[in-house]
Amino acid sequence: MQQPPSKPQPDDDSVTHVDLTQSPEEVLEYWTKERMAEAKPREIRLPEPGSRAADQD
Amino acid sequence: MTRTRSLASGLLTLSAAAVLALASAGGASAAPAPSDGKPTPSVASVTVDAGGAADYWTPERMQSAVPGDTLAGKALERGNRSSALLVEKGKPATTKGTKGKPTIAKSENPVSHIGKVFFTMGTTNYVCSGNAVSSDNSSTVATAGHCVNESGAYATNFVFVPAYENGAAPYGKWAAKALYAPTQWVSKGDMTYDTGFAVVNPDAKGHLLTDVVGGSGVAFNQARGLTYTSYGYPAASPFNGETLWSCTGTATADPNNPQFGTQGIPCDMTGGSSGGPWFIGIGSDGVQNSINSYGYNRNPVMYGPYWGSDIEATYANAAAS
Repeated sequence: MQQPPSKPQPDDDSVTHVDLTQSPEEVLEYWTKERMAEAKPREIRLPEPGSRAADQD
Repeated sequence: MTRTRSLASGLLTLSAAAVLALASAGGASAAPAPSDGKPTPSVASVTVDAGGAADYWTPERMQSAVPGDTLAGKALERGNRSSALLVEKGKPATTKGTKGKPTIAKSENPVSHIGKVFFTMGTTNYVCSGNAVSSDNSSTVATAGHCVNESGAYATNFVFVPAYENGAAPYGKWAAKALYAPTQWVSKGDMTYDTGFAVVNPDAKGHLLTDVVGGSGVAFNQARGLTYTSYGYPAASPFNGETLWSCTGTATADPNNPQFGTQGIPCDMTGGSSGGPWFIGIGSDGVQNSINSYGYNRNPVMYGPYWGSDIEATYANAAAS
């Protein structure tokens, strides 16, 4: 199920995109109730004011 | 939690009235402090083993407990020797009530075009928030750059669940077929450009996303310092990711990293709200003009990127695909 996306394609200098190779059925099947419940909240919390290092999860 | 800790700590001091109720119910080894010839004290107290009291109250004893108004009647039978003249008067005094720690974020009912997004980065499954936006393809979702791409690698298994609440997906789940992000985010992780867009497939019946849930208008290159309402599904404590929350405030520049060009509003939404929409004005009917991007430790402010020309180009590419 972990299929790599196709290579990102530059649209113009300021934009990139990727066309995903998975079928909708595969993706919907992947997201079971259990996987949705266990998905980690994504966030960027900067550790201290003034620091530029991002703590991404 | 507080109650459990308090009970476990062992000893409680109760008011005289509460002691009377416990003693009359039988079994509690408590007695008011005796008078030693000094003037009658105005307050009596006793120390009670709280663990014992907790053990005492079996379901049977709780069911057979005598209503408290019986005790009030007995107290009256003992005599009513006070007179209004003897009631001591002092300075007016009040004690403020106590509530649980409030959040800045406000609980909301589900909104049809706002939802959760689930995706995989590497081998880890993540959750963010997103919003369906008006587009030529009727299939575009706005979210955060860090919810579609990390260090140049795009997410897989990307799905949008509009109006999610407590596990319910009233408008179904919409799988993405393409993801878009500004090059500056993808190549450098520049916080200035932390925005992404997903283009989703039609549902099983061939319906397009915004034909089903509606889509917000979008705005770019707007004035700074506007009032915004941001929405999201915060999942990290004290939230649980199961319901929608919002914050409203006037945007101000990030004083710590002004080079980002971002703006912040007072908001304590946590992880999982990333990618949730910022609407100009109050409520969810306005045009979208940013997303929940980042915050600082111990500082309840949510920052969002300024939607300028590069993010506009990203939207335009996604919306026209």
